[in-house]
Amino acid sequence: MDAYDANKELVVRTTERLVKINALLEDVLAHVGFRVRDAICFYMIYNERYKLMSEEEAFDWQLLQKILPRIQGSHSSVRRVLLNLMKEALSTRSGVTVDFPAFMDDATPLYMRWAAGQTPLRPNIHKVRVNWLLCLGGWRKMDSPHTGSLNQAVELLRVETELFTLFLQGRPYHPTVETLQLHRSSSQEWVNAQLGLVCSERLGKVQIKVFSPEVHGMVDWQPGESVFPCFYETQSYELVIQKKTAANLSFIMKMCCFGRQLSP
Amino acid sequence: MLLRQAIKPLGESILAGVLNFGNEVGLTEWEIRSSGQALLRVEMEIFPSKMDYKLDYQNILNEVNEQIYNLAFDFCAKPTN
Repeated sequence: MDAYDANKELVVRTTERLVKINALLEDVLAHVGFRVRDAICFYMIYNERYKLMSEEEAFDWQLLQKILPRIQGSHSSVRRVLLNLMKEALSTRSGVTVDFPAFMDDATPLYMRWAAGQTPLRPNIHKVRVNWLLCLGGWRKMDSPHTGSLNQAVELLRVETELFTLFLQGRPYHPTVETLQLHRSSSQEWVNAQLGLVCSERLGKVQIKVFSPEVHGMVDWQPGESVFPCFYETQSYELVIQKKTAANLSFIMKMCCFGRQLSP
Repeated sequence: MLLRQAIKPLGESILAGVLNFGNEVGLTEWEIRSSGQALLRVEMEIFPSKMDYKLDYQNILNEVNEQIYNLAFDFCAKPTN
């Protein structure tokens, strides 16, 4: 390899780090071969030649681009590998310890700190850090006590009236929204969604319940209160209306208007 | 846009169907009616699945607005050339 002679030290250094990382990746059969090693070495060489980033930063980017996408799944071995990888990525930085047994159970403190902007990494590696966050954050969600229920349809809205009971069921989460952590404020809180119900007097006593991701179940709702986002585009929801009288009921979808959303 | 056909009666006492909002992001309104009179009106918010629209929508709007000025200038400039 031509590049080897001219950049021997960098290539050896990079390869050594990759060998260490590869040992971790073998646990989840995500280890890399010589092609990826070469690609990463070339990246590091070009980075050094054109003085683009520090070596650390360039290697972080390569971890993000070449290694992290290989790791997926919800098994605890995946989490162990992720944490091990992070430990390795942090090892060259000062004063950071990864408290293993604790984080195996719950890595929340780790990424809450990141979310709050207190980063154990140097601040300029923002993007890499955010992606670690997503990896571990997504992992936590998948492995929370509600495992499996993310994809399960639940009741999202129930309106109990004297004439009928209305149920709206569906998946409360959207996989892409979860992965990208959309519709959250900077402190990882869900944004508010709008919900408005106008009941005719003919309905009599009305009881309304909506789904809350916080309790992962139905909670009472009063007009004017805010709700969590749980209806998404292109996702299907099942509407069931159970009549209590013989009255003929019909369903009418009026219109969807984007523009009104942002008016005060 | 009126969608009536999606929700069908299922036996005597049940009305059921599947709702899919397609790409209609934003507020959606639907009603349960009985002999022409609205009994229940529901307005709910459909969220996009690929972007943070409360923030991003404003940015998109601003960007489109900038382009619109360019278009207007472009339109004015043409006849004189």
